[in-house]
Amino acid sequence: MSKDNSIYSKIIPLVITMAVVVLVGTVITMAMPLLRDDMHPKLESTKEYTAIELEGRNIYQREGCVNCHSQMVRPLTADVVRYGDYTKAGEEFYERPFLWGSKRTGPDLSRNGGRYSDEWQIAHLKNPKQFYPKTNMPSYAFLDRPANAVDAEKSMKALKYPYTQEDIDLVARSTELEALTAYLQSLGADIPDNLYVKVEYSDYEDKMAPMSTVSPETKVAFVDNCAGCHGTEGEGTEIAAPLSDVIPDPVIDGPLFVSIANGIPYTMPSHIGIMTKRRIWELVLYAKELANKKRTVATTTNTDISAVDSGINK
Amino acid sequence: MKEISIDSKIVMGYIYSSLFWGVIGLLIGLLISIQMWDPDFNFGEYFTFGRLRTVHTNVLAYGLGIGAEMGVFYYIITKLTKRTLLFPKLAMVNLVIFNIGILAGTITLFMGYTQSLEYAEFEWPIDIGIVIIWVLFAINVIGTVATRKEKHMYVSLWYILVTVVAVAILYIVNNLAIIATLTKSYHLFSGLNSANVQWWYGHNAVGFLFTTPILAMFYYFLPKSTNMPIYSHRLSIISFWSLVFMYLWTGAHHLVYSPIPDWLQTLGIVFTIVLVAPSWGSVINGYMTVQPDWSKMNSQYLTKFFILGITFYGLQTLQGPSQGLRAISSLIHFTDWVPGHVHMGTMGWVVLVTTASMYYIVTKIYNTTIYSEKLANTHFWLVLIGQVVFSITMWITGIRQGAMWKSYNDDGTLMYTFMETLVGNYPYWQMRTISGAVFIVGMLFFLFTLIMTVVKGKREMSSK
Ligand code: HEC
Ligand code: HEC
Ligand code: HEM
Ligand SMILES: [Fe+2]
Repeated sequence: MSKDNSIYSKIIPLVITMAVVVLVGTVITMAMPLLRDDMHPKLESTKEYTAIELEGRNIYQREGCVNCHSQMVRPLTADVVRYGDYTKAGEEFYERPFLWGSKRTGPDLSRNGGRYSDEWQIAHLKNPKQFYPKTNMPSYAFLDRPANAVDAEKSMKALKYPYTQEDIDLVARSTELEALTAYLQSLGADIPDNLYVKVEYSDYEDKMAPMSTVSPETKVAFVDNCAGCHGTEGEGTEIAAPLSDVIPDPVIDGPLFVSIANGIPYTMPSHIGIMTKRRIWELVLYAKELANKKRTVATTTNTDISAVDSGINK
Repeated sequence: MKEISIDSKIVMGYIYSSLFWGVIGLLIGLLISIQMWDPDFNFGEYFTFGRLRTVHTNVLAYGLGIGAEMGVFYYIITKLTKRTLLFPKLAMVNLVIFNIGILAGTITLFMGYTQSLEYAEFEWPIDIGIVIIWVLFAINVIGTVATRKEKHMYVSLWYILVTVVAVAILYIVNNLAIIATLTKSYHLFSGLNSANVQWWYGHNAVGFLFTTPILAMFYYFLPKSTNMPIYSHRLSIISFWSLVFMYLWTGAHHLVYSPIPDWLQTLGIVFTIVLVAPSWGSVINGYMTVQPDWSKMNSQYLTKFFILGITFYGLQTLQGPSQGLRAISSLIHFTDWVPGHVHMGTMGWVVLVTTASMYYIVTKIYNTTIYSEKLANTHFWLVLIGQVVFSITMWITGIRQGAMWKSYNDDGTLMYTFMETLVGNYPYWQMRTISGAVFIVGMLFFLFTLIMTVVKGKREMSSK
């Protein structure tokens, strides 16, 4: 059918032609960008990972956390309201490889640093169900074992990141859970103050809640979002002291509202993106209610809180 | 009593090996599908979701996919070149190296040695093994085609050649790394370039592992099994060159709304849309081939595998380009929609065409007929139902969760917490486990039918 001397009958020219055809798009969209400045910007605040953070990142890679967690906040309102400021090109300078992921089975983690305390991170990694009974995140209790300082040092050397012997000693003293936590706490640190929506303290400094009753939905919201740390009845857990100790008596509601809305760095996550202000005001009332109940009831039998429909988390 | 030829033994060796890895990959797939709705199915360190998902994709892409492709290619090549393989011993040795490589790769992924680059997870020592395997394969393919006895080169051979060339380029470049230890390396490219190189690779890995090789099979086995010539040789030429040219420009559609520069995203999206044309060139060529006699769908049991296969390819290549659009990406990216898309391609297109090709090959090699058409049809229907239900449930829940992620309250805050959007997936994920199980049962029917056909063929041979 084809002519005898057409390209289709000469294999070497044919294979070379194929390679050339494949390489055109490759050069323009893959190779050329390697040389362009707009492909490797760097923020002033972007620094190499420390030894323990890099060890944590190695563990993050090893455990395939990237298969469930993205690390790329898109410049879309829904993304930034939930996760914080969108991912900047300049933050990515030291990412080898990039860990943006392609599936959000769990939430984005690129702004996770400072959202929680180290204790929470470790307790959550060990047993995610303790905080969210219906989560599908696996338990990583097995990471409670010594981190590998020797390999961490080799990694630092290979990547030519600066480090001191002290940095390596810190890895040697740490567990894998602690190293992973150090990495998680570093996420988003290049963009300080990366909450996209937040309330101003001055606006609420001396305010009291604009309502006096707590709806059943709010009680459900407390169980779903707060009970993991504060206990279903505000009785406290290893993560947070009982509400009766945390909330002064008497108290102005405004500052509590601001704490729940914006969160407290390295202590409690922000909630303003994922619930209405009204809901947060009601949570202030509810938290106070729980604190007062604890203070007055001291030690008696069960309160009627257990009757609250626990919604999705039960 | 006759023996099958050495070339046939090689082909069968690759087929058996791919079936072995296929079963393992599918069972792990079933397990991770359960882990997604019940984390108590995570066992210890080696059987957690994060590690197993990578094992699943790699065992199936490399163990099943490449293994099957190498075997089927060797078969097609010997037929189209009208000669025996140039280096049959090399092909045998390569089969052994290949299996050692996949075994070692699988074990290392269980241990968590991964480069975290999708479809390029194997760490650098395994990469070296893969490159050696591929080079040995390329030597045999190119050598045999170069010394062929048939002047004319049918389009399947071009698809095979371009697969050999492109995979080599892609795999080597994306696996360039800074080595820290025997089990740990870091992508040579950092930040935006890491992402861009990876998705140049990732998109084209799909293109040159799950598209061009399957098209090679399709163009060869559809006419063979229906006894009807391909509709248009010219259309196949045009589709071939335009597909091969355009595929390489589109990787950035995996990085829509990411920090990579807008021009790069837009360029990728534009080519993504144009890619519909060459893809549908092959779809139309397939339909028009059967056009003169659609009753073949009924009378020749393999026809439906190929026609349904190319139909899913057609749907895939319409869905894919739409996913690249910014508006649609913003809704479905990061959701289960994407696994829905993926599995229409792999469980629909790739598996239907590959398994039908294997039926054809086995009956030819053993000069026999299929052990039971009824069982082959059962295989077809179970696989079809499993795949369709799988994909549809994932599309629904992807849109569902994607829409929940962007639902707002009146005051501009988001309506749902992450957990609220997650638990809504569980019923759909359970549905997927069921449909996946149906698919696997279908594949067991395939396995049984194929092996019984071999047994039947062997028996007939020895009684001759
Ligand atoms: C099967 C999917 C899956 C895997 C694998 C997984 N996670 Fe998660 N992760 C989730 C889900 C779902 C949530 C949300 C519910 C929760 O907090 O448990 C979550 C939540 C988190 C959070 C809290 C995020 C926030 O802002 O509230 C962190 C931190 C986290 N995961 C870290 C990790 C790390 C580190 C790994 C790997 C060692 C990992 N995850 C593996 C699914 C997963
Ligand atoms: C990750 C764990 C965690 C979660 C989740 C969490 N908190 Fe807290 N919260 C804390 C900790 C820790 C403190 C500080 C306790 C202390 O000061 O000892 C705190 C403090 C508070 C305070 C006192 C704030 C102040 O300014 O003194 C209130 C009220 C409160 N939380 C309510 C809530 C409510 C309501 C929710 C759910 C919407 C919630 N918390 C979710 C950990 C958490
Ligand atoms: C014209 C053809 C195609 C186009 C334009 C296309 C486009 C896309 C796009 C845009 C995505 C990314 C979705 C997202 O993450 O938001 C994607 C993902 C994917 N597609 Fe396709 N697709 C095509 C055909 C195919 C075929 C035929 C297969 C397989 C046989 C396939 C397999 C995959 C896989 C495996 C992924 C997942 C990548 C990941 O891990 O994130 N695609 N495709
Ligand atoms: Fe793609």
